[in-house]
Amino acid sequence: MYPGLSLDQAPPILVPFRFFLTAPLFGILASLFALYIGDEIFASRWLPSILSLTHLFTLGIISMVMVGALFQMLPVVAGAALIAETLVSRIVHACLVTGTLFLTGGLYQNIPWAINLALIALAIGLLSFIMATSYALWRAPRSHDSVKGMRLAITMGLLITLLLGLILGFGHSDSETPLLRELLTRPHLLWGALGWVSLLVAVIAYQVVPMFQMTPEYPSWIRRYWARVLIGLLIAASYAEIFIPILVEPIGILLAVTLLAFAVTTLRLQRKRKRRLPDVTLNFWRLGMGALITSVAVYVLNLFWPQPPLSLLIGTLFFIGFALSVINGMLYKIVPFLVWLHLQNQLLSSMQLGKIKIPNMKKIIPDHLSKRQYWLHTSAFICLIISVFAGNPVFQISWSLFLASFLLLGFNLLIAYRCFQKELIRIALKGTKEQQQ
Amino acid sequence: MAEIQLDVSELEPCEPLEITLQTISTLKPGDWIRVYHRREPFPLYTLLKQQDFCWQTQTGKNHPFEILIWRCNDTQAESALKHLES
Repeated sequence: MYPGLSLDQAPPILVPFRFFLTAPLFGILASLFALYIGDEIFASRWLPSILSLTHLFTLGIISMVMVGALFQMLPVVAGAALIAETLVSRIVHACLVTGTLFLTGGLYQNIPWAINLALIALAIGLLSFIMATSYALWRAPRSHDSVKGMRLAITMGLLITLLLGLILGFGHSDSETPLLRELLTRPHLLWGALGWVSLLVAVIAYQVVPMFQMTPEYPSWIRRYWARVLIGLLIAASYAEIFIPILVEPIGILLAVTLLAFAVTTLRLQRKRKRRLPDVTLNFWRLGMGALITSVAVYVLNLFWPQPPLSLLIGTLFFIGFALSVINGMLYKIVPFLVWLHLQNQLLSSMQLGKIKIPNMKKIIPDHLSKRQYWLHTSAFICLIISVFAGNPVFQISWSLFLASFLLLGFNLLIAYRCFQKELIRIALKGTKEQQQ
Repeated sequence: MAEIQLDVSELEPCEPLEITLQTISTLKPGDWIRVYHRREPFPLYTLLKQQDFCWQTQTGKNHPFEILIWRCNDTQAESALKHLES
C-alpha cells in the first residue's frame, strides 16, 4: 500500500513557497550572467565563469526547489514532522541564498573571503537541513520506498556532495589548504548530480508520477532496488576514482545503465497513463527523460571518443535538459496542489467546508501561461544545445529565451500565491459574516 | 436505504476528493457511498473524521481500493452495511 498526502501534517504554506519563489530569481540572475559572459564559457570546464554558472543553477535553482519540496513532502508523504520547521526553513533559505550568491561571485572574481563566507553559509544551511530532515525521517511512522530513498538522497547524496564541495572550496580560497581539484571534482559532481539530484527526482517520481499523471505504479524492482544500486555504484565509483582508476569507466557504464532504467521506465509508464489529455507537466517530464537518455548516450560516446564539446554537452543535457525540466514541470503540479490543500485545510478549520467553493487545481495557474513557459524553456534548451557547437549568436538567443522563461515561471508561481491569499481572505470574510448573523 | 456508487478511479487529483466531499454532503439517512479509487485517499480520511463520517477501506475487485462511507450516527446505514459485507 502506498501512502498519499495527508492534510493535517502539511507545514505552513510559506515554508515551501519561500524556496519556490526564490528559484526563478536565481534563474533570472543566471540568465543575465550567461548573457554577460557570452559563449567564452565553452572554452574550458575549469573557467571561473562556468563554475559560477553551474553553482548558480545547481544551488540557486535545482537545490532551492528540491529543498523546498522536501520541507513540504517529508511531513505529508512520510508523516515525519520537522521540528521548528518555520525557523529551520528560514535559516536554510537565508544560508542557501547567501551561500549561492557569495560562492558564484567569489568563484567568478576569485575573492577568497567571499568563497569562505559562502562555504560557511552553505555548511550552516545545508547541515541544518540535513540534520532536521534526517531526524524527522528517522522518527517517521511510515517507511515505504520513497521514504527510504529520501533518506539516502539526504544523508548520503547531499551530505557527501556538501563535504566534498567544502574541501574543494576551501582548497580554492586558501593557499595553505591543498587544492584537490583533480582528485575530488569528479566525485563531487557525481554525488551531486546522481546521489542528490537524480536520486531525489526518482524517489519523488514514485509518488508524483502515478498520482498526478495517472500512470500505473513504478515496478517494485525499481522502487526497492534502484536507489540502493545507485548509491552502491556511487561509492564504488568514488573509491575507483581515487584508488583503482582502471575501474572508473566500467562503473561509469553501470551508472549510465542505472539512469537509463529509470528514464525508460518513466517514459513507458507515461505511455500507459489512463487519461490522455494534454498536460504541461507531462511535456516537461518527457523532455527531461529524453535529455537524460541523451546525456547517458553522450556520456558513453565520450568514454570511447573523448571530445571537449561532449563533456559540456553532458552537463548541459543533464542539469538543464533533465534536472531543470523535471523540476520545472513538477512545480506546476506541486504548487497548485499545495494551494488547494492549504485552502481545504482553511475551510476545514473555519467550518466552511461545503459552504465555499475553492478553485480547482487546474484553475490556480492558467494553462496557457504554463504552456507558454514550457515552449520558452524548450526552445531555450534546444538553442543551448546547438550553441555548444555553434557558439554565438545562438548562445545569446538561448539565454534570452531562458530569461523570458524564468520571468514567466516566477510570474506563474506568484499568480498561485496571490490566488491563495485572495481565497484566504474570502474564506475569512465569509466566516466573519456568518458570525455576525 | 441505498448505496451510492462513485467511480473516481480515472480522475486527476484533486477531483476525487472534491467529488467525494460533494456527494457525502447529500447523503440521506440510511444511505452510504461506495467510492472506487486507484490509490488510498489519505487526505479524505482527515476530512471525513472532522465531519463525523465513518469509513471502511478494502481492496476492490475491479479497482485497487473501495471506500465505504456513512454518517457515524446513522445506525441504519451501518447495520445495512454490516449485513451486506457479511
